[in-house]
Amino acid sequence: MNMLLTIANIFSLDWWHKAWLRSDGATDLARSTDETGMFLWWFCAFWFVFLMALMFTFVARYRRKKGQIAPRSPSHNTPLEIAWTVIPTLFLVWIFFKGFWSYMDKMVAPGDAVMMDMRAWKWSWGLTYPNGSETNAFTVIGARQVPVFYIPAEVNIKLRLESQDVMHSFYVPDFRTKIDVFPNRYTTTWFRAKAPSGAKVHPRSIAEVESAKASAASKGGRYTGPEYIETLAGEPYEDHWIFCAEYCGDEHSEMAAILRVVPAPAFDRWVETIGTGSLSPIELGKLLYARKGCSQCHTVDGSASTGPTWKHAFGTARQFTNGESYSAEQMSDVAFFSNYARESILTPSVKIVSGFGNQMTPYAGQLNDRELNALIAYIMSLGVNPPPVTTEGDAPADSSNPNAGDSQGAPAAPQPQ
Amino acid sequence: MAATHDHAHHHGSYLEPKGGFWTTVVDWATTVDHKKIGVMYLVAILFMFFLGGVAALALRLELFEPVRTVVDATTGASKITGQMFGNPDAGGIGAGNNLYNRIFTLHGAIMVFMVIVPSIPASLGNFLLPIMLGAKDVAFPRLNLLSWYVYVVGSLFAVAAIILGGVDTGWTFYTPYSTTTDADYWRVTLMVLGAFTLGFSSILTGINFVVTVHKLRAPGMGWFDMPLFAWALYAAAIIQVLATPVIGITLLLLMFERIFRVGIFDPALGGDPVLFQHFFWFYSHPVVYVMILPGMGIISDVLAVQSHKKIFGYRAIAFSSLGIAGVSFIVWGHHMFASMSELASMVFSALTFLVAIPTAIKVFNWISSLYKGSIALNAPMVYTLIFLFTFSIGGLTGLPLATLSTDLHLHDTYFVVAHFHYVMMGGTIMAFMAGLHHWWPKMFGRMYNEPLAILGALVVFIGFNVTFFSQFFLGARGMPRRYASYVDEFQLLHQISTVGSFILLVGFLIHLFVFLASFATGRKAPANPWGGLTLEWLADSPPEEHNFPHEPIVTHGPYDFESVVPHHWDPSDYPIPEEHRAVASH
Amino acid sequence: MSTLDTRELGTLQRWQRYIHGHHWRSSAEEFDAVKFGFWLFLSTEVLLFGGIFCAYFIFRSLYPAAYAEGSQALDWRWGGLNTVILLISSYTMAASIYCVQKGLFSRAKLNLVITLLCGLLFLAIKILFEYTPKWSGYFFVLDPALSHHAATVVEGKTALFGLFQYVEGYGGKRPGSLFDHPFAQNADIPMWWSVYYCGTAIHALHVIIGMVLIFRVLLRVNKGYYGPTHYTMVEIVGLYWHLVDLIWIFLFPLLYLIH
Repeated sequence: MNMLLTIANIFSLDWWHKAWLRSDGATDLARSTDETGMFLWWFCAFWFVFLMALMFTFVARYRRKKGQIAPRSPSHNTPLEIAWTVIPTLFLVWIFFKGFWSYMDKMVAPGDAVMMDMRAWKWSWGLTYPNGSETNAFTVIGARQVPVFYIPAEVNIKLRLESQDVMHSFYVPDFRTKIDVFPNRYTTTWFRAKAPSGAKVHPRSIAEVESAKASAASKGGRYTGPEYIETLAGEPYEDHWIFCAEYCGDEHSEMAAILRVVPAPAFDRWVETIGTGSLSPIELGKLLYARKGCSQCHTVDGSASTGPTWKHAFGTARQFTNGESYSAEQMSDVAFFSNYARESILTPSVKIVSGFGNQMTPYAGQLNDRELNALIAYIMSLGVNPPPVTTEGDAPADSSNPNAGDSQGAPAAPQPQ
Repeated sequence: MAATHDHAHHHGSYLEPKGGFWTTVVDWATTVDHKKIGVMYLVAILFMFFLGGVAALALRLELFEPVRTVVDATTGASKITGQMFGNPDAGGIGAGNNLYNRIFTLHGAIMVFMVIVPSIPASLGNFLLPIMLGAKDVAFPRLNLLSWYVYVVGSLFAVAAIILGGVDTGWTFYTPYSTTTDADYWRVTLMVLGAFTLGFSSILTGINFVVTVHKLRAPGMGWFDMPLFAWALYAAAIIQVLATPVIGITLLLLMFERIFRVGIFDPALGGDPVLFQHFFWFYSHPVVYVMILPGMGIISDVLAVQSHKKIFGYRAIAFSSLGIAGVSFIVWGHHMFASMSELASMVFSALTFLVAIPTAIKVFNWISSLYKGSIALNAPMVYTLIFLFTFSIGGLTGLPLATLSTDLHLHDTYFVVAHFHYVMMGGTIMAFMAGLHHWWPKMFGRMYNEPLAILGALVVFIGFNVTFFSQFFLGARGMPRRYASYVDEFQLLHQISTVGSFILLVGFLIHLFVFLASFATGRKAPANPWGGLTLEWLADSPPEEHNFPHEPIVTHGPYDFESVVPHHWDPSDYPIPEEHRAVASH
Repeated sequence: MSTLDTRELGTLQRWQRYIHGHHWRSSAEEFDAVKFGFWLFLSTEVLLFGGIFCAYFIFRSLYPAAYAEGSQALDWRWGGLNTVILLISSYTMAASIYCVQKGLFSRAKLNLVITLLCGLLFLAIKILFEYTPKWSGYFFVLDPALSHHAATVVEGKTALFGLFQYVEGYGGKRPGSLFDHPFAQNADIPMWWSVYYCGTAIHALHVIIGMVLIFRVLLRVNKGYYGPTHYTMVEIVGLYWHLVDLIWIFLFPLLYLIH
């Protein structure tokens, strides 16, 4: 019975709409693109079926019979040939304009659009909100931790994009749009996200999150929803994938992010709370560990990865590929270690640890002094003998919480153990 | 098409060895006979096709499972699963992805440069063009041999790059990734050098074909008496001559960029990556028409012969080939809608729709040619029908890609991957298979096992559609391309696609078996097994060294089936009514 | 282009014994076809250089100040001399074709030798007086421009047995990331040098290829392969050489003359 229903469904417009598109477009322009797309689908399907029916009919009717040759038939039919040249041309002209107008709408942002800066690098994204702060929410897709960018609904948002290394492409499937991102010039895109439907809401309390995590773990899975965020408790949200759509190297397929649409007033409340001014150096360092992409190659729990683990880096002797080496004593000296760490973050190719390749993107110019110091403080806090912390309430982080879904302020790295 | 031919003066076939083993090897290695060169190309191309195909199977295996982080409920430990290549526990998923990236680059580079571009022109074209025109060889036989050796050298450079570890730039070598990746190694430069060299082979073949068509037609064969395969090869050869130098300079500059860091395409030095894309696609778009036009030529010829019917709209097809060749030069920007200005995008979108029209007309012409035909359902014809099916899908799916608003969604997704596989594989390769079966008896003097060949065709058809139609849905639902892994939701469609790819493998293995078996046990082929009217059916199967005992004289059109009894056929098997019979039938 | 020595042809020259390819109906047909094919090949060369010219115009419009400064650094007199040299060589090449057609073989050989010498001179000027000083700062001791740099000559710093003299602050004019000129006014000037070097180097490569072909023709004229009834290769190589000259005629004003 189910089978029959499925087969019957194939003849329904709705089934095909759902087959081609995961969901309705999340912006008005996306929906109009969907209309164009679905129209093209039905047009092409109809003519394809027609042509193939003709073809199979002819093949069946005009099978070769022994001893008979093909009857005489025309090899020209001028009116027919004119018709099948002119009519498709007219149709194509029409579809071109339809596509063009909608494309112009997608490319030209309205004058009142709020501008935000999006950065792309190998292999992550960074969004700077108008108040200068960046998101502190992260989640896990596949094997990697990715940022969650909150966006207000029903507001015209314009993104100004640039790359810090090679070409990337900013693609939001639910918005049906993408734009390439370059290192030598800015590109822009814009959207107006529709309000979330209310099917998903932020947890209203920490307890709610804990119980959701427990029930997911008991089924052998992982909780993938948001953490408890005070300013967004109970607010509806809708997630949209951001993918990189221009091949950019090893982790091109991992270069994703989540665009999370929340109602505008909730967004306004939230964006005020994410400034890093009040974070201690170690907290800031931990945040940057995720946000700046360090987590892609460096673990904090001692497991192996593309780059050396940060666990116990402070305090352990080290050998380099150029023959130099540092003793454990040197690596336990705060000043010495800080200099070394700073050099390795800004110009990594100067000293490569033995057994690793020269693959790290230099961070020169991408971190201000406060951020650099915070990262170094965080790394040292993972050391053999972490330096004492002077501010109350700052626990030395030894953190990986691989069970985290979203995390806020305390990003977790999903590293194998 | 031929007035006289003398049965007494037949020489040995071109395949007959001239002496012992080494004599034969040297003979083939130094031959200027277009037929032997065509056969050598055929073997190389089929070998490369299997190599590229194996790479594709490896990719599809990796894509059967996405990479996931799995959390152990009891211990809370997390583990990465689903990656076939590499060992995520040892070095993160980057290394495995890197291997995946090298394999998809290998697949693309081999398939584009070493298989599809030369496929039909270098193998079937080389073999058949002179014979179809009634000539003894191509215009420049020694240039032809040079062209073959340049292909070998170019392929060796590319294979060397692969053996040394491969490159991970994608076959499109976009900058700045290609100018900065693997910076310490010469592999990218070597691969680019390989592609550059292969371009020369293409240019030399193109020059040869253009001059052959202009200068070596038999007496009585005007331009509009040529088979449509010749028209198609001619149009493709023009593109080869005019477009390939542009990829030549682009790759040359790219090599300089890597070796000397000159900075023309590298933004860190002041260059422009979009300039690279313009240069690259200025060639790479016309080259897809080099790929498809000869295939369309094969379809025209095979369809006409296997339906024993004049092709509908001969001149329309001939002119549309030239038209497509011309328009192909002005649409390259449609690969770059996501990175160009709005004005440029508008212009290129409009022009791209323009090129859809002659292509559609050809499909209409072919289907109309079936009307009131006398259709033999053998392997060439089955492949022709498969072509019409899959190429139409490929062409139609070009429409949402040419449409600007939908392209912003579909660009760089699996929709594009599916589209170009439908036109390149569903188009060129299916046409190649049709042509290979159609002319196999002529080339090798053996018939192949017809029922098995048809079975192979059907398995290929099913495998192909299962593999690639699912990818249209993947792309429309947002799956980007060149991804080693993906979000969970896409898994079912990927699994379907992977299963399809193995069905494809089975189909091609059946064909391999059928072709090899034909050498062992195939029955001897007559000169004209299908009843064609073009000059190649006048020659022996396989042809003698100089193709014809003496120069044929053309007295009827290539598809005059309603008035001419095919050469070597018994008129009683081919009863033409008295009033329609041509005056001079052989 | 087979020559059959097996026939009893006595004292006939090779060019008189020439038999055209068996797939052609006559030598005239073969000659026509070869010329046609070669024009097609020349069109590919034009398109190849077209890419360079395209890059030139694009970067010129993006970095006009850098291109103006870069162009000043080139000495139009060397470029002009090279232009004259190539024009002369084109003339002698054409003359050699004429001589072969008329059977004047020693004159033909003389013309070919002069053509080769012109090519050699072109390359020598380019390498000695243009590339080497700009790249490394070492001037050839006989370079008249050396006198302009008397103030910055570094005495005693020479190379290659004293044939080259170092001048301070002149060298380092290299493409892309190799650029190292201490007194460059414009940050984008490496883009100029990239196009300059790529364009002129690819052209020089074609000059070398042309010279190899001319040398081969010279040897074969000497052995009597070409004559009044068979001079296809001479004409073809002549066409190639004219194209090489023509490309330089376009490169010269764009690089040296427009400021």
